[in-house]
Amino acid sequence: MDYLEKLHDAIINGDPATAISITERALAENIDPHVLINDYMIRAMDEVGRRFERFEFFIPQLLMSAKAMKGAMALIKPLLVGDGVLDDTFCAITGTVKGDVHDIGKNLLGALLEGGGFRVVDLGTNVSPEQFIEAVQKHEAKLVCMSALLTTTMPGMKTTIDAFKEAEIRDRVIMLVGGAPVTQHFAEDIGADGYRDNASAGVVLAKELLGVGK
Amino acid sequence: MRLKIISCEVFQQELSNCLSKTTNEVEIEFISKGIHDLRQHEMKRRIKKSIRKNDDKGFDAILLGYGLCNTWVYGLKAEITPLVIPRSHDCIGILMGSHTKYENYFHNNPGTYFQSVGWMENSSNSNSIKKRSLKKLYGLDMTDKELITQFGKENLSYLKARLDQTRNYKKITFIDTQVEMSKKLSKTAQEKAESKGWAFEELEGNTRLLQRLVDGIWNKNEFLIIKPGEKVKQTYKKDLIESVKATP
Repeated sequence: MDYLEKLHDAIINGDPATAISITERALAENIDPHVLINDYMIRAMDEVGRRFERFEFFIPQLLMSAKAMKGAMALIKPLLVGDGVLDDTFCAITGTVKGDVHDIGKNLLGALLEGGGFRVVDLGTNVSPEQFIEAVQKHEAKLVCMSALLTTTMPGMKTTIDAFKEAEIRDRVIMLVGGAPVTQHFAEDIGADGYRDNASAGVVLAKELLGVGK
Repeated sequence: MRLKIISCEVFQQELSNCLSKTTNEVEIEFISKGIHDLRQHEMKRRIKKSIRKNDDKGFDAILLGYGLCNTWVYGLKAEITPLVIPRSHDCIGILMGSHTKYENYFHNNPGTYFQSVGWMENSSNSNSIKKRSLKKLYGLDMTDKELITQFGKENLSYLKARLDQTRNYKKITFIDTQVEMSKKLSKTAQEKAESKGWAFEELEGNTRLLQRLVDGIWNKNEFLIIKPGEKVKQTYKKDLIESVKATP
């Protein structure tokens, strides 16, 4: 089993080929997929997130780690469907709010959420409040992460939160906000459940508010 | 009135025209546009340095030729001299002459990359700024060659698709404020749009906000006055910013 540590390292090093080959070998040897995810992959992505937060990792490095993680997950996922691991507690809806087409930060958050064990439904950019609501209802998600890069589009976060209240489903979801112009003060003002200034800390906060994982 | 204006260099030509028409005595200082590419607190520190230098010089007000730009202005305190800033998201709202007009245009045209003469003329950064830029910090400035060396040729297209900050843009809008080089740079902007397969639009600019700023016509809807002892606070309301008492 010593070779499994290489899966952890391959994700940190952003080496998809090694991550995939180790996963293939492990699955062929009937190693429990949960062990791969919980003991090696999530731990690796946590470390990637920490390094990114400390500016030790560039965005390209984080993207490569995400690619390695995804490659390994693609092999594991079919084995997990229906076993409760990918349950709704861990479903996150991500999207950049209406009017805004920027998505680098939002995609990094998505990658780290996936790395943290979440099932991520990404609605992309320029997402209307109605689309957020529809996605939450369809996927029974309990986490909504909204992003905006511009002060022009930031109010779209409030509009979305207000739409959730209007639809009487605000209490069902944790709503987090992020993006360059967003501040803690703004998040509180518009009634969001939380804000962090980087994707890695955002995942930690999401887990904390949902009471899952560490 | 005797005024000091500290402004982003993108307004160089427009402000020069406004100053030629004002009856106020206005001293002007331009700061490099490149500070927008730094981390928010570094941008703030640079502008504050110029404010501090002029704070005790007896000006009736220090005018700021900036919008919210990267939210640098949140928390900015007036110490001795009142500060005046247009309520605008960024320079585009100021060059359109109305932040409401800008907001309406913006929301009807998502994915638009705005350009103006000042923006285009000042688009290259000094090495000192490049070294400290957010792009550098996040590795967004890596060339294809660097990406290939570090991550392999097979990952280049994957990375490039995710690192291109303008990949969801669909349009370039050029704000024409009728200054020198307008025609030429509008054409350059149009060519850039065509080369990317984006739409192009030229909009007539309006320097009324800049003129009012230097003329001292600061109505509450369009300008925020920060009195000594007050600081700027963010608001999600249409005013964008408000002034509140600063805690010592």
